[in-house]
Amino acid sequence: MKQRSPASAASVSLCVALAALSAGCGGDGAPESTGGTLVVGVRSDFSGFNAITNSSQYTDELIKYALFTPIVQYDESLGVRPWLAESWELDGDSAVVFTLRSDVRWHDGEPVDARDVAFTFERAKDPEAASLLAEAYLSQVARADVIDARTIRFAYERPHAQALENFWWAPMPEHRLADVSPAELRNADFNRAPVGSGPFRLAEWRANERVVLEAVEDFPEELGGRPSAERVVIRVIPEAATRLTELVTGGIHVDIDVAPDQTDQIEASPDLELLSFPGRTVYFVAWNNLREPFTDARVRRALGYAINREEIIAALLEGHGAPAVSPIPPWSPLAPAVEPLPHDTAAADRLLEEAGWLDRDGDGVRESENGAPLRFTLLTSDRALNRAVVEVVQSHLRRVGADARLQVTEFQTMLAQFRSREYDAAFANWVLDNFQVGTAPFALFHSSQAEIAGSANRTSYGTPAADSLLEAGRAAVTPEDAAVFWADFVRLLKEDQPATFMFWLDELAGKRAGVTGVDMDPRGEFRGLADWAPR
Amino acid sequence: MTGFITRRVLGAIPLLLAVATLIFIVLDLAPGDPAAQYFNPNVPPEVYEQLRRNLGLDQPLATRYGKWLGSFLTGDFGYSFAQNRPVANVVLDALPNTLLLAVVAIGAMFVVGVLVGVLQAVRQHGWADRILSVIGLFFYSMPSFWLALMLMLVFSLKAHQWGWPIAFPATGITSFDYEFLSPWGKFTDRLSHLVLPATTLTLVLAAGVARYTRGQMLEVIRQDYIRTARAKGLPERTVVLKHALRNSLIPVVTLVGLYLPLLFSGTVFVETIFSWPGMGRVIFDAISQRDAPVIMATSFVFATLVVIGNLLADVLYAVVDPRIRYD
Amino acid sequence: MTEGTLRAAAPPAVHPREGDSQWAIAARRFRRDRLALGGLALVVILSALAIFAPLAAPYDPIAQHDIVATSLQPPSPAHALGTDLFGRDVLSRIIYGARISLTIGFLAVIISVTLGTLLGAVAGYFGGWADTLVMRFTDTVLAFPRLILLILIVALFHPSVLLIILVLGFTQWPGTARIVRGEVLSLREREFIQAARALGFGRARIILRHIVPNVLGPVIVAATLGIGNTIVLEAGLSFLGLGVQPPMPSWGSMVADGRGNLIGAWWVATFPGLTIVLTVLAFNLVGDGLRDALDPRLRQ
Repeated sequence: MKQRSPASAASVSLCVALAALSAGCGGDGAPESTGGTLVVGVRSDFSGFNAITNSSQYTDELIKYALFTPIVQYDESLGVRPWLAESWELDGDSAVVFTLRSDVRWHDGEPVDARDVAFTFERAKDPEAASLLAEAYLSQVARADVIDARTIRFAYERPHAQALENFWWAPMPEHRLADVSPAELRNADFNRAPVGSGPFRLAEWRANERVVLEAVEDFPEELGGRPSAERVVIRVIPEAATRLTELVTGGIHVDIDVAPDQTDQIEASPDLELLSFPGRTVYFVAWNNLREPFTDARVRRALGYAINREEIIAALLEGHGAPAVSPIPPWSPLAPAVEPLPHDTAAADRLLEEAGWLDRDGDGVRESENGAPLRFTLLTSDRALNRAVVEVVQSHLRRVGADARLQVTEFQTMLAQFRSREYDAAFANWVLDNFQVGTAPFALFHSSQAEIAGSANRTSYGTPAADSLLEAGRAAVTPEDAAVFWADFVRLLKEDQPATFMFWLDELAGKRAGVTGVDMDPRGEFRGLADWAPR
Repeated sequence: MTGFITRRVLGAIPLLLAVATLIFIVLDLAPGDPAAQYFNPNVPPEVYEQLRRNLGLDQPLATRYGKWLGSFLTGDFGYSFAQNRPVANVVLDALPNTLLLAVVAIGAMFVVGVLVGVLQAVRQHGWADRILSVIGLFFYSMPSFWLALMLMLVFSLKAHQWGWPIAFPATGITSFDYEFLSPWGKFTDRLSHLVLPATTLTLVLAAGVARYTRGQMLEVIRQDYIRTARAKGLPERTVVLKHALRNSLIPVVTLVGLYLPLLFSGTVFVETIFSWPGMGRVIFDAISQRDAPVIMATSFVFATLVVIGNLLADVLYAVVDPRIRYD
Repeated sequence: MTEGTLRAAAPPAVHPREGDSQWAIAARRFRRDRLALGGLALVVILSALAIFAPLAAPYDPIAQHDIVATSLQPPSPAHALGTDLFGRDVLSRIIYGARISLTIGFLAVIISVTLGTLLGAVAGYFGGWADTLVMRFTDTVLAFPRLILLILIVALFHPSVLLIILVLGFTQWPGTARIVRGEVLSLREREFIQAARALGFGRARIILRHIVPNVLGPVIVAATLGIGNTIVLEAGLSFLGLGVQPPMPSWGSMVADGRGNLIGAWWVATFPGLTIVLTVLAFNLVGDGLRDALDPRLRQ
């Protein structure tokens, strides 16, 4: 009697089952726009939507462009233009009076008024709240006075250029947050279910999975009116290869986090378009100026010459970056015309010899007069780009006889070491959180910061010449005056090389060809979210 | 039986406390600072110090341990440093997803493993046995993260590129337009998203189950009572399925206890690679972010799940094996 | 823990000759087991490659040349397994990676086996509170998903080869301890041990000279299988970025490097992973072979 083998029966049914499963849903299916739904892919989840306590970049962008209405906004040429504020009047050079629009409402119906603005200001300035908004924008703003429901006056600490840019933040609703103590603001339930004032409202937030935004019907026309998309679903997809596949198959319309090595595929595909724009992140190698051998500026400059930025940008960024020379971005209106340090191994050799570093024992690594080798640790975090860059930098430094030992650690540990200045050299990055030119250079290189534990001046650099230029730049009243100081400062920075600036990373995104209205620039990837439409 | 269960549960409590305390100490000894994550490096020291005070990080170890233990035992798991919301919510959002994956994987692992193991034992030394041995050992030796990437490459990425009819999604639990699907559509959508992650977890451990089942079956088949059954003239199928299988399955149940921790370890990789919002991903992210409250709560939950799993396995064992009496 | 073997062919029956020690019997059985021999051959080859890496590898695993020109080349006659992002030869890096994996594997297992044997012997021989204490401790370590504990410790402190070896070694011993305890429990009541006790031998002497040699068999099996397990875990840690520092190649970190570009440059992640599988497979085959060879029940 012939027995049907159970195995073959099982395998047949398994195949049938598999086919049924996959045929019913090959991938996520193309988005035949289900009522104007736009799907966006991001690498990681957002943090709480509260302008006062937020510190994460994409959350900040959604706050400014989707969920809330900042007092001012930037236009394409990075000039300041009115937004929540209908108009403003300068009161001498030490104060400004804003008149707010009357047609902006919170999503629960209450009007957005001057009291909300003042409330946000007070809370941000309150040390208990540990607010980053205050540091980023309000360090030069002393006080706020509500004149009436639509008028508010801000007084500065002292006059300074680019003053209006201090107000690129969105007020939070006083009637919703007044009961929350400043120390508790960070953990408030509001942050996960915010009541906003922008063109979108937050409809759903499933942690680590997705955020769903819905269009607000009656958003003021002058501020863009009703968004083009009915619904925006932002999906969290940490794995880069999968995110790109979703873009290819139509599971998402826009991929915000495209890596440089994925650009080839996007450009090769007729259904996809690559979007690239100069970013706000600069990468640099910080030298610990208080430690040998980096106490000597010649050594720092030599190592700066040894690094071949062009090769790194070409090979690791696929050309999507610009060489950097300072923390002032090349696309800023006040950017000085100073060339980055060229790749010049001959100059590097010469400087190192001058500083007394010669390869005395023929092992390929230079030694000083008393025999100490030119060896140090190069610290960085374990992000893919950082790992890749330091491996290349190590090889560049090796060619001029410097032995850099790599220390790639998990981000937190790296940051702790870096902040406490317990490192030799570190490869790190700095993200500009506003467009005021002076913020970053001051924080990074002023001598007053060098003394403060845990400040951003981790190279411990500080010279009288640099200090005076920094202060002059920040205090300059007109942009033209400021530009002169910044140019001098950058030249000094290039000479002293407390840190070797490497490159500005372009922001990369991908979109499907059928999506319209997507236009990204340094103001942020989510800037034009209200204009994005699936067809 | 209830006495046995109660004793085991009571015995598990000090175990769980020990695990939690161990984690607390490890976290405390570690360099690096949770508050460091919540500011971009631009933030000045005063704000940073204030943050640390707000989070209660400036107090001595004993105080912090005491406070934590107190609130933990009353069910207050605190707020996540990274997500700024109650840890209980973080866990409750992620736990069902991991449980779904784990239950499916365990079910598949046992079904596949037992089937293969029985087949091998029945056809011992035959070609099926040899081939399955090699394949099984091959999968057993595989790192789950690599298997996950390969499955994704072949059945998701390349499958789209080559236009295969069989292709599975490689991210998330549901598609973005899930709400608009019919009930049947929703079911198949969820199922198709489960295939790749569950297969990764299943294949590696199923090979182990098959090994064990085969060994047990071979031992049982050699027993006298099996020979008696055959001598009685019972058809081979009855002998195998009714007598041998039932008796060899009993110890296989104990594998649950052994494999449960392995399964949860595997979820760390599988959930990250397949963008599955479960506990494995939560704990890995929390470790990266030094999010101590979340690390401790999720560690505790994992240990509890393992204990419960072991307990269930033991109960099942007692139910299935009439020789065992727990009093 | 006991698991059945997966191997298809039972080792052929061997009739003991006069005066054969159990080791001689086992050795002969092993020799006739083709799969186990195959595994052993593979282990020997891999170890040789690791030791003689500078001779075996066609290229320097670390040196970079013109990155733009050599980056991400598919497999070709010049580079059998292709090149990675920096233009480095994948095959050479795999060969050097064997050094890391095998070294860590061996050392960690030596630690765990020593620790496990001692603790298991103490628990099994003395019984009573010593047994309870050790077993409770074992349960605690086993209750927790091991990988998560490893990630926790390595991530929070500095990843270094030493830390990884120690942490792997100190979390692997429960398996061995349980096996040893079981063996010792059954040995304890055997006549030759009772005779030794009657003769007044000290406990330490009994444990070390009489008990431990008799549990060596299962311990060796556990150790061999443990090496495979350790290699997989170390690869997992490297994959997560918690392994050895670049530019030293480690199989796990090589898979991680290739993970972002699976569609475009699949060879960077696929081959190192395959190597892990083959290596672990080899150790598992040897371990299974040893277990079958030493299995007293198959004696005829």
